Amino acid sequence: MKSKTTVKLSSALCDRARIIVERAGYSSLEEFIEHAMERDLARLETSDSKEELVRKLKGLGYLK
Amino acid sequence: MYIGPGAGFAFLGSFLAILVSLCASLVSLLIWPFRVLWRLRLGKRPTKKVIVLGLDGLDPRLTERLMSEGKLPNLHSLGEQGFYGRLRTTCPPLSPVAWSTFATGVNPAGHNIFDFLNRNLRTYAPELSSARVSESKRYLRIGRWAIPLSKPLVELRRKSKPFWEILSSHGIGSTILRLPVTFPPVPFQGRLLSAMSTPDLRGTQGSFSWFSSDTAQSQVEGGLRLPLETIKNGWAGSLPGPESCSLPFTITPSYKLLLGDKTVQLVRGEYSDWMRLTFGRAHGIVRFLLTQTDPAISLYVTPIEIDPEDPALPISHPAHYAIYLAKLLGSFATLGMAEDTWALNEGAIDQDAFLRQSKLIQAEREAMFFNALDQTKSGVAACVFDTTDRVQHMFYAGGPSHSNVIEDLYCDMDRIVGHTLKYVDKNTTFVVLSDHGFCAFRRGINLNAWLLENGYLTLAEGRSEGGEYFDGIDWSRTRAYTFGLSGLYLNLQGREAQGIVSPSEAPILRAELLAKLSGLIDPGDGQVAIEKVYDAQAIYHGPYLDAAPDLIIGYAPGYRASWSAAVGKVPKAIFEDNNKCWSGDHCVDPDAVPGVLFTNQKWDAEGAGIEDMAPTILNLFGIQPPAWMDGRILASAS
Repeated sequence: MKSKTTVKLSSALCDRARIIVERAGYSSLEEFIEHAMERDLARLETSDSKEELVRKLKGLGYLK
Repeated sequence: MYIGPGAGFAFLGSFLAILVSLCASLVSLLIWPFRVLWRLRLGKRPTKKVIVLGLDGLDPRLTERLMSEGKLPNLHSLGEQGFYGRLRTTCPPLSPVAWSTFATGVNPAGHNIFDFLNRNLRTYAPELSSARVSESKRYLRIGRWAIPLSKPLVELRRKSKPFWEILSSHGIGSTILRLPVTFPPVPFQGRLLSAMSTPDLRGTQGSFSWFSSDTAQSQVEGGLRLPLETIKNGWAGSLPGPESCSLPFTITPSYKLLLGDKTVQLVRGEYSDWMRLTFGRAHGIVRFLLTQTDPAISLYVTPIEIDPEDPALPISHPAHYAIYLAKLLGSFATLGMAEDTWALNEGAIDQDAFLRQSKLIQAEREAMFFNALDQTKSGVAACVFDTTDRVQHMFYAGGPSHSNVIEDLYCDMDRIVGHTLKYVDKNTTFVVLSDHGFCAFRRGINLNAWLLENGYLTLAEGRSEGGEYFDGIDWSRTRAYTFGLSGLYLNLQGREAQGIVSPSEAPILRAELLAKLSGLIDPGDGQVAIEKVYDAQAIYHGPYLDAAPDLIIGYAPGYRASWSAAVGKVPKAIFEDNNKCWSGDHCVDPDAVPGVLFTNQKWDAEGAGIEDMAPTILNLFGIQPPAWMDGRILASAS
């Protein structure tokens, strides 16, 4: 399974990010960038319907 | 018709596995001289091998009692020769949270797993916190068929970096078996078989089928009730698969089950072997159990699990590892939580059938663990056995006929420890640990009902109760809500789509709720139901703090978020009795349910926490733990 892809970013921007990545608790620059993307995606993209999300949880022992 | 959640994987799976194996063999041959040099270098490391045996939910109080009674000789001698102590768990003490902290060495705000569930901030809809599987976006439609042209999107939502990836970057390999929150697997130098949150072929967390000749089709918790039609020569049924695919089968009067070209002789009370089934181009496995023959015939079918020989979704790294294990050792359960607790809760199987199922799963796990140990000369071999967790959930109040089930299980785990010790030499560090302990679950608390009664949550006009996942809540007049097993959330402006609590008001509201809920008394028996409430801002730190619940509830032993609270309902009653077979739990105050830690070496581990494990394992191989890890080093490399 291909789990990573390559994106070209400004070196200057990445250099700025590298300075704060570890201090902020990220394990890598990639994780920091993915987190930034996820925050915006959560705002912009559509998700499964509530019914579909609930269906996917079916059978999880801790939940009725 | 949609053909399976991962038909694209299934189609390419076998071919890719062979191709990748050939390429890997070729590369392995070419780099052999370099590997010899590397091994010589590794040979100089202070620790050559680390074996981690995870026993999910092994409780220290019971362990200590059984050790003192001489019933756990291997664990006892391990503790005597090396170290034994209680291991601080995470807040909250839930397996996905705790094992994520074990793997990464960070607190929940560093790895983003706070509960089994997360919520969509735009819709308030629940999501599995640990993984996301989205259907393929592109289809070729031919009549009623829709053939996926692209793979489903599968994402691991646990963040940070597990210790085996860091070891990998230093050339040290690991085999990681069934460690929770590892689905889908992330590539590294080593082998991994996924666990908790791996779905079944229907895309759920495990839904069984329960056929009977005296029932109509209906939904039950965690499964489906389905009819068996009486026909001339026996009975006929149809097993629903992914989406609208289903497989018809018949059962003869002598209880022979015929499904396509497959036949299995059913014997009442005995599980069949795994049967491989094909739905479109997606492959699954099931076991059958004939539970009743008179007056009606009843047949239990396990959830349709992903076939490890032809996985419809990525369940191992490398992809062929699951295939290799299945070919070598036989098929095995792949579902995240494979022991079917809901089938027992709903009466589809009885306690003995549940125990037999758990033992079958444990035997599969043992076979793959010892296979990994046979092959591990250096690096890490880690395996989590979760039978201990599932059986304690279902047998904590097991009744007189099953009063020794948990004790017997602990003794059986001790047997596995003894067998593992045969693989331990002077260059091996052996660690046995659990992620949390256990206690009774007698009473459930619904904090949505408490919030309603105390004016923090409001229902829509005309509603006196709220349904599943916040149905009926008036968000424009709701300041706090709960769902899942431990978190309480503010309806925060700028975070929740319909948030009304301003950021400046939030700290005051958090403090107010914390004060009111700490020490909450159960009027039913006058006991303290909530020991402590934790402010996420005070106990967590890290990049995912914004995703945390605002408050984490530390229920007193005996209590837990009620079944209705876990799914976001708002009933009238705050407290309710728990009458289910699921009678033990650990979703309480973390101080009440620590785990255990045993090692074969003298560690400086008094007061250790589960976050200390990852940095310690790195240090055993002479690798400086990264600065982002929270844990401390419990053992020196020398």
